[in-house]
Amino acid sequence: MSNSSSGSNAYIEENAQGYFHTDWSAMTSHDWAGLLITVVTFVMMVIAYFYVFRPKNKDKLEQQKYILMDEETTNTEKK
Amino acid sequence: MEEAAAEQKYNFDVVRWFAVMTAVYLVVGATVGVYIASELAWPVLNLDSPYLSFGRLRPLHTNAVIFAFGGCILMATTFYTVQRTCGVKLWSNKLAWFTFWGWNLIIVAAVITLPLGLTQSKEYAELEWPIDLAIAVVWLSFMFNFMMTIANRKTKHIYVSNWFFMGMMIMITILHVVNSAAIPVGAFKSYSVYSGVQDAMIQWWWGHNAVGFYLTAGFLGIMYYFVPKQANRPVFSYRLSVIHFWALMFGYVWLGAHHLQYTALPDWTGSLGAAVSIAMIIPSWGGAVNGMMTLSGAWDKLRNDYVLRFLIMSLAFYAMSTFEGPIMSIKTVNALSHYTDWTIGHVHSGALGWVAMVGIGALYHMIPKVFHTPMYSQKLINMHFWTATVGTVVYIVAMWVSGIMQGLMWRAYDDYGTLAYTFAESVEAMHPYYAMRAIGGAIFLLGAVIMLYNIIMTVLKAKSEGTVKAAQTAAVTA
Repeated sequence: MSNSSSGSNAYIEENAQGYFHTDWSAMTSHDWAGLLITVVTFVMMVIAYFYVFRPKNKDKLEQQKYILMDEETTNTEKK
Repeated sequence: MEEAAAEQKYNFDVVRWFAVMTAVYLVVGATVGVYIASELAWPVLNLDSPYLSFGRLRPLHTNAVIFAFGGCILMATTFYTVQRTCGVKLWSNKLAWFTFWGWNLIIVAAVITLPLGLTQSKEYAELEWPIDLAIAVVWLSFMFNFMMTIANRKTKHIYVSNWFFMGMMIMITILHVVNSAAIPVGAFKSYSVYSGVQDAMIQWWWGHNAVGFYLTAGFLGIMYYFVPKQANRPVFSYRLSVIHFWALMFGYVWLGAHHLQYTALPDWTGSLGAAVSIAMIIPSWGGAVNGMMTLSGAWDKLRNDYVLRFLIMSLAFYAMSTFEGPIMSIKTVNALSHYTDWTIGHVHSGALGWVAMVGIGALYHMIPKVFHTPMYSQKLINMHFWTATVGTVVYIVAMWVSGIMQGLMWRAYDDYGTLAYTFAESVEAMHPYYAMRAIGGAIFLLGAVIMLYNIIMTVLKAKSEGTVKAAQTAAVTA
């Protein structure tokens, strides 16, 4: 049982290593551009979530939802 | 008095024209749709004419509903809302009229060229290269006018609906230019600069993002203005709307490859497309919940506010189709669903249920405001709501049943590994559902005709009462 379990773990490990293996020397300029865009997008998305859900920014953001409620009478003079 | 002040402060002439043309094009686009749906059920209807064949009329239908109806409602609502949320007139009224006439001429060009068989054969981008160039020029005029109006705004903050509109404009510009890159070999013939699997990848990068940025981001801009306005309550959570916007902008561009599962495209691109599709359920449902919860504490408004019914029903369909889409992108589900009518059902739950209904709700909100008179008939709005809802449900149920049956018949095989059904047998099995689809579409079309009649009568009423002129000349206190 334990032999079979360790054998299957080794198989998974080997498979995972193969799946996640990257041949960095084979990366083309397109690959690098794609990688960079992906990482930058991910980081920017994390920043967006952090900024929006930071308690300190709650009132600042939520007050903007009232723009529509008074648009006709007051928002033209807010500059 | 308030509306008279708005009439004098802003440019609503072009909004009025775009709004009326929206109703006209919905009838035109849906009529062509019902006709081609009927052709599939009863092929004799093609009358042996190449100009009336399904292959030529189908792109006319998609162009009419997406770019004629969808384009006009987007342009009407952006020109209407950007002025009201920024507190300034449009940057250029002349440029807005150029956009109106240019866009309508492009639609006329589509109506002429597509039945003649002049096409680039790229889905949702069929129009030939001279028209593609015209689209780019007119679209840029639309975007430039919008951006300059934002730049001239009197308010400090840019309201979230304008962010969605800007995202749509920027991304559609990029998508249209890249996808339409072609080498002309004649006045109305060109070849894509891409070939093979790269062409397919670019095509579906465009194809899915036409859905993502034009039919989703643009119409979410409509939702974030018109749902709170019609409900007379601020949006449930502004923070959620900000996350909704950025997650949509960052996420949607990766999805296109899920249209190409099990093709020559590298396997990992399909997996990436499916993974991001599933991740997109979060912002999509966040947005849908945000819109619906705007009614929190005021659900009773749905009892007698027919316009609000359209807007909230559209959000229900938005939530449903943005859940269904990611599920269909998963490879195991896709193996069954792809190339079947399930996809057509999915597209129409988004197109009829979400896009058309939110656009119709916005139109019913806007028409009384820009013509300064109530709608001709509230009963007809209610009748339209039920025909639109029932028509959509009949349509998508027919396509779900048909699509899943198709997928199961195509993959069924016997003990010897031989296919259990011929393709012709699967076509025969589809017939009742194709008839049911045509009926569902016809019910939806009836609703569109009711709306057009209601709007024409409202415009005539405004004309006979002189309400627009009265609003333009009324004495208004600042």
